[in-house]
Amino acid sequence: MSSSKVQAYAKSLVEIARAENRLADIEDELFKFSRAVIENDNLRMTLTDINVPVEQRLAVVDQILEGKALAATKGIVALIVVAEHSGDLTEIIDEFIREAAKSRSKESAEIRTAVELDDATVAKLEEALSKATGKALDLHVVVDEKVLGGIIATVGDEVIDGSVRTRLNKLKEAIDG
Amino acid sequence: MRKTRLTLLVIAIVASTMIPTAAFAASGAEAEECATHLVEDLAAGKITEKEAKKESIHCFSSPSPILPATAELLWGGIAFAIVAIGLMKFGFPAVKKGLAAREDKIRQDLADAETSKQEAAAKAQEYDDKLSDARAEASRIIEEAKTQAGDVKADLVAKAEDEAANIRAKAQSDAEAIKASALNDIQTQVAELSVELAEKVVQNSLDKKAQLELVNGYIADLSKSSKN
Repeated sequence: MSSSKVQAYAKSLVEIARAENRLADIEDELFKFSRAVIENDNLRMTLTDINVPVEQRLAVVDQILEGKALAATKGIVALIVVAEHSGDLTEIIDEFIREAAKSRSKESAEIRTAVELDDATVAKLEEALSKATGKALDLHVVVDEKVLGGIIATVGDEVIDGSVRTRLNKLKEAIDG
Repeated sequence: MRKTRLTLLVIAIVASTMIPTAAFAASGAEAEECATHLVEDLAAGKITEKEAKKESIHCFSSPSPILPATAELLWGGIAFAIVAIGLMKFGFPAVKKGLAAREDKIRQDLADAETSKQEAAAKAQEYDDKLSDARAEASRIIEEAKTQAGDVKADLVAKAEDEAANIRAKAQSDAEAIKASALNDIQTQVAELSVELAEKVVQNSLDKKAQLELVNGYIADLSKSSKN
């Protein structure tokens, strides 16, 4: 799928979310679903396998999002699956998030931590990152135990790594020589 | 040669005696006629009794088995002469010619045999020479082979020594590489074990409070970097 097509899909879906007046919620739910697809190989392979009937793939999506996401969010994912663009699903969602942030004159930032952060901490983090990068940011927090401790923030191409995992990796490199 | 001539002479004699055979026959009719003539001559007084007796002996006596009659002798002589002349005219020259040809042939055969013998001797000499040459060549080749074998042996020994040196060097190099690899592996394993251990220690020691302190520390560092 070309980048222009991905952008076209993302812009259209942002408009749908905006029409539903639930852009932030849909954005957050899509972000979480996208990260689930990236981290779960079986889910990714099922959604992208053209030998699996579309109905079956939609049933999987429904089963995952049932009771956890808005109907609009499920509809957006279903639209991508039915259009046979499951292979580009994460790319479309990433573009969706960028478009949504852009619509708020902000940039999207991914935050990986080992534990859940409360709203106050997220607000402080958003403020500090915005100052550090000089950009107005929308944070999307992903809980990832592999981080072990601390935070890995990704803003566009820039990565600000303050994780225990990275420190341990550096220690390993130092011992390994 | 002599035997051939003797055979021809016997044939001539037999042939000459065969022709006048009829002249020797003294039949009873002739004796009777002879006696009748004697009686008539005696009766006519042409001959005396004594002469008649003497002649009668001739009438009744058979011809000599050895001495032929005159006619027979004459015919035999003529026949002999004809045969002898024929033989001398045609037989002897032909025989002589055949003998000469045979003699020439024998002489030629002898000459050929001599030539062949000489050629055979020359060939034998040639073979001997070639054999000598071949033996000399064989000796030379053997000597050369011995020399070359010596050179080859020296080359092989040199190559073997080089290969042995290379093998030793490679073995040493391999051993060092294996040693370095093993050390590297051990170092990697030590690093991995250390990090795994540290990870477990961190996981056990990082409670919610410590995690939040780390997050707050990260935020504080960001704030510091933005001020700087």
